[in-house]
Amino acid sequence: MSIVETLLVYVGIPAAIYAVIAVLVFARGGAKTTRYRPGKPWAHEPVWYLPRPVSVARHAAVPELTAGASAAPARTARGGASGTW
Amino acid sequence: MAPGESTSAESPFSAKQLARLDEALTLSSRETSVQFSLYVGELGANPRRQAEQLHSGLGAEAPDSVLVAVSPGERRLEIVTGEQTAKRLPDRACALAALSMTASFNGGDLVGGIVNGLRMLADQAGKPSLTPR
Repeated sequence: MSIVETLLVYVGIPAAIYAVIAVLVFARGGAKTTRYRPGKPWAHEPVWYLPRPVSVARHAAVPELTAGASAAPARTARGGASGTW
Repeated sequence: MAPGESTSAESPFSAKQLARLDEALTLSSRETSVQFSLYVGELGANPRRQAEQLHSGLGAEAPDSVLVAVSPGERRLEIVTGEQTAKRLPDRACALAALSMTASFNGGDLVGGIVNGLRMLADQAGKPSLTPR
């Protein structure tokens, strides 16, 4: 092999491989990954998820959720658990 | 969240994570006829009371509901059971699920902890026909 060929094979190919990997890593690096890290503040609006209704009829029966600050309804909680981390 | 502090209105979870949460919520609710709901957000100075208020906000569904309230900012988890669901999910079962969830949360896995916790609660609650009401 000539010097040029040797350089291409032993330097060019590894460099190309590194370049491809670097592109793959950094092309997505700018995407906003909102990964949760314990101890970091949570800068999101509160969200409330309910299970998908079995049918539309049942969906109609589900009342609209009201804000917590409005007239306090009767206490419905009977038990449960708490946890911290 | 204190006024002036910026909050982003977009969902805190990716589409894939939302799909996992949706599947976990829907499957556990259908299996057990318990309506599981999940709240993720600030719970304020008195997390327990706030979670109980949220639970009562469910209205007519409240007795058959279980609310899982997670406040990642305050590192606080509350599980609230209603009148009917408390019979099927004793506090001890809820505490076990809470322990498993907080362990995952501590490792930074919010969605995994929630999904596993819902699974544990659903397993404990069992099928509705098997439990006399």
